[in-house]
Amino acid sequence: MYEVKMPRLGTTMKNGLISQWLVEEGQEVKKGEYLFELETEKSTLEIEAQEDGVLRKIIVPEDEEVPVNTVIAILGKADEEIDFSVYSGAEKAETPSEPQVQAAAETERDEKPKAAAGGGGVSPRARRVAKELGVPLDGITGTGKNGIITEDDVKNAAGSKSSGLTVKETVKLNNVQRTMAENITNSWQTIPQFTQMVTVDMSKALEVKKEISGISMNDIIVKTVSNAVKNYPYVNSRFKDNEVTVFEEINVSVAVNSSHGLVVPVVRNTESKSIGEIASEIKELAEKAESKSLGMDDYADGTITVSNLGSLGIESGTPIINAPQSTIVFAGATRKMPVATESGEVEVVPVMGLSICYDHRFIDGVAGAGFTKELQKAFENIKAEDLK
Amino acid sequence: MRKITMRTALMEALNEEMERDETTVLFGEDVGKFGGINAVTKGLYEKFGGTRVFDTPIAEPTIVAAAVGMAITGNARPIPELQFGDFVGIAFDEVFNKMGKWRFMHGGQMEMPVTLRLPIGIAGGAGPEHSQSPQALFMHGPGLQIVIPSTPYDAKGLLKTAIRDNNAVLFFEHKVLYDMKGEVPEDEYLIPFGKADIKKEGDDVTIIATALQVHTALDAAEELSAKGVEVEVIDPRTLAPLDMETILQSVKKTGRVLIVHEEPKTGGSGAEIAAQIQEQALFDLSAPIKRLGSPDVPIAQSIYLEPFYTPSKEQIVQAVDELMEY
Repeated sequence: MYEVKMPRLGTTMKNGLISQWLVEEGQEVKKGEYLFELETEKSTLEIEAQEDGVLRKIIVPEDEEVPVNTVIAILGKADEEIDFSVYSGAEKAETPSEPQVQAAAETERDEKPKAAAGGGGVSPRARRVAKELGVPLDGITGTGKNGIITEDDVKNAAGSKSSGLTVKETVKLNNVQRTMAENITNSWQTIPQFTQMVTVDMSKALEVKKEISGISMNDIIVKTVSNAVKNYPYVNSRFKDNEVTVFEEINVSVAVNSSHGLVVPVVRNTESKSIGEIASEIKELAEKAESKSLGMDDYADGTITVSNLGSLGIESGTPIINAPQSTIVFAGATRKMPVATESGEVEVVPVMGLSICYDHRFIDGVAGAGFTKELQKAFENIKAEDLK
Repeated sequence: MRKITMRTALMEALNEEMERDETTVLFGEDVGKFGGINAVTKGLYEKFGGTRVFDTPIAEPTIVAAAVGMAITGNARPIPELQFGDFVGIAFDEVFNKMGKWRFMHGGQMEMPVTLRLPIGIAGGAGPEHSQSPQALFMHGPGLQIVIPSTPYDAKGLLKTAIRDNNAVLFFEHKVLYDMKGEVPEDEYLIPFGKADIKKEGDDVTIIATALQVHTALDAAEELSAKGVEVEVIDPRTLAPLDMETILQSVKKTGRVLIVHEEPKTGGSGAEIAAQIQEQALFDLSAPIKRLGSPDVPIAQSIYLEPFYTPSKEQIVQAVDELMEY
């Protein structure tokens, strides 16, 4: 047997009126099917059955207003013995047949201790779950015994967030994603950052790529950034407690895409590695990312980050610093564009967008421009031997 | 595996431990030649002789006091029996104060390797002074270990552990269980104190039951399972020490608790267990903790009225149904 109760559809709802029963007594109804039409002060809604069963008895007829949580009907098995007399009595007690004034006074009396008890009618477990999920308890309609709010009620409320939206799915972040969420939030909230953008002529870089076999544009970008940092080490740094620490090693954090998400492992000592070594190391890191075997060491001690979404066709972007580093280089797609030469003619040239984001607490626009131009120059004048 | 009764299991434990340790002595009312009114000590007199297995006068304070005296000499390991657990009342001071506290009072100079066996429970219209389950009284007496098995397997393993233990043990045996059969391996085993046993796993409601009520709970579990409600039945096996860890883990899972025992509900062992659950796991609870026990009324001397004192399968099913409403 299941008692169908007048649901509470909002914090302020006190009474509800059944404008229409959509199922007749004796008719079978499945959980989720519409059982009745409910009219509140605000709107009219179709209400679903919460359980399977036969509608054994309608206790509250159409067009009669009753308080929230009043038993309005009984669902049960077809042959279940049910004593309905209890309900007719209870229902009478709640029918506002007494003088209006007295009824109003009683409602007030009833409500006061409830408020004092901090809500009341919430199972301790539901209270804990609500706290964990950050769901406010007011506004949740209790479906437990005597209208108590249950764990399921809280979880349902967390899923639907009280708005009219229907949740298609909720996705929990894995560890890699959670770490990313934390780091990015931390960077965004604690580092005032700015981005400079330049367009780079990639003609020579493409020639070099052809010259050296087994390397990708990404490898060239990593090594070229490393080369530019050598001439402009101020960006290979961290800022903490009003002190800038500049590093000897150029450990490049490289964004690597994997089927589990984007990860940013580190290629160490790029300043002393050839492009071939860098290429095979990045390949190795990508394989590790795929097999989820990147360890803490693989992420540690990066000094500058390269993020290259060129292969995905992205032209430029506004990256966010990979804290606690101070600089991130975003490389876009290399594409052919008409460019006006110095002599005023138009040529079609392969170009790449570079967006470089700096920690503005200690790298100002001019200092940033120094490295931005340095990197642009490094790409435009690139030679195969630079990458050895 | 072979199936034997709890009586046989207890007899085996006594036989094995008395063979193993020559300092063990067993005594009580009619436990010698007669073999005990519950026939648990049958054959021990013949096997171990009148020095190690003997009858006592009908004087419970003397039985327990003698056991305490023998134990503190360091030369004997007594296994006294009270014919009915109810009679512990007359030996209360010997049990509650001396057996439980002397080792601690005297700075550990003496040990108290006493296992006092106490048959308990409603059986056969024996009336208010021969049917009780007084174990909860002793949860209030620090220094005493309380064992209450529900199966032949548990009874044997726990009795062997009790006899070997150098601190006082009260070993409560429900009389209806003596004839209940269960699997017991031939090979020797011991069951440690303070380790509850999950008799049936389930996600919906945790039932904590002792002695005969473990079986009532398991019967109810079957009926509930047919309705789609899966209860978890936990037998603490020892009330002191009490394995709260197993209980709390189960409560975390289910959020609903029913405690069932034959003791009167008021001040029964369930009261303590319920209190500890709310102290440690209130926010795991979806519903109030429920208890089923016998009513707070002296047990009638009538086999027709007795069923009203023992929690029934129907009561358990109903209580679980009520918990599931939350």
